[in-house]
Amino acid sequence: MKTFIASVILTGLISTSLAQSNSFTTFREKFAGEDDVHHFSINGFFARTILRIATEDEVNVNEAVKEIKNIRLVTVPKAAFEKQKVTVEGFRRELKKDAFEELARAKEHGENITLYIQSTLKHDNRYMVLIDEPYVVTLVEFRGNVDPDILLKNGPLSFNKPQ
Amino acid sequence: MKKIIAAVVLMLVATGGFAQDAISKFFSKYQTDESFSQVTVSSKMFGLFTNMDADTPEDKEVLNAISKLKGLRILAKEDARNARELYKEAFTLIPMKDYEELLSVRDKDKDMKFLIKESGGKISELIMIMGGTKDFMVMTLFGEIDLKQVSRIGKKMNVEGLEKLEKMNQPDKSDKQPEKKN
Repeated sequence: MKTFIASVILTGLISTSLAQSNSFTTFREKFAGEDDVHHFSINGFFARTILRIATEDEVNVNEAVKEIKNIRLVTVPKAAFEKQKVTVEGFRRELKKDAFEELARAKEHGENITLYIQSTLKHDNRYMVLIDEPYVVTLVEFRGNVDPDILLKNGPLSFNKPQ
Repeated sequence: MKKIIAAVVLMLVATGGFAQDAISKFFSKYQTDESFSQVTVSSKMFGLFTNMDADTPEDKEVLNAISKLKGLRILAKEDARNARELYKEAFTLIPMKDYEELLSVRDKDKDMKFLIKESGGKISELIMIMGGTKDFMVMTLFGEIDLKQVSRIGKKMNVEGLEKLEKMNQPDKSDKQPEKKN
């Protein structure tokens, strides 16, 4: 019996940690096998380590991302969108259907960045960043919880601050 | 009867459509212009602050003020030769009769104006328009706005310019009561 319970818990944990949003899976599978489509996925520990190295002086960032569980990223050239006869706007509608709500959007020099959230359990949200550039579209999904203060401070708003 | 209902619905929809923030016209005009930067923050983002824990009573006040905001929009242009013209144009596109001037700042290289929309004793919109020799920016913040907290909110969100409102919260030295001489 104990073995059975342990295996159920283990299966639950694995499926939780590997769970992806429907829209991310749809997006990735839609362009699978196309030229120059890249995808990678890292777990929370590795992601946090990279972020710590990248932002070693930013104590706040470390604090903000400590609850990130995993990060997935896929890049798709715009040519693949044309080939599949789909659009970024169409994907935005899919995100909406998948209960992703827009948090913020910034457009600068032809680059359109949108941050979405899919609120699930407390401290277990899904965030999606859609970066629409002239030749490539990047989709980043991360699960966990991020301090909204950091999202605002380090987000698109800081563009008007002198460097 | 159906026609009346349809007309009422249409009017409501149209009113709703027009009851957008003041820079919607600006956004519409320049949204395809790649030389402009645009930022939109939704009420959902501000709503995330509702569940946050505050360390100090001051932080609690700021978080409370942020959670009452409904949105923020920025339209900006850097290295713009026509920054002054854009600044003037902003005033022609904003329905000025709906707003009151809150503060006006003239620096050596830029002009800045803060406008507010007030209804029922509450501020529902704050507009900041900035035009310099090179840069132009128009920002609108809407929702339930606590002016005392705006400069702190600006710091939290890294929005340049809002710190000018900090001066409004400081007590005026001239308001000090003269000391009594014994």
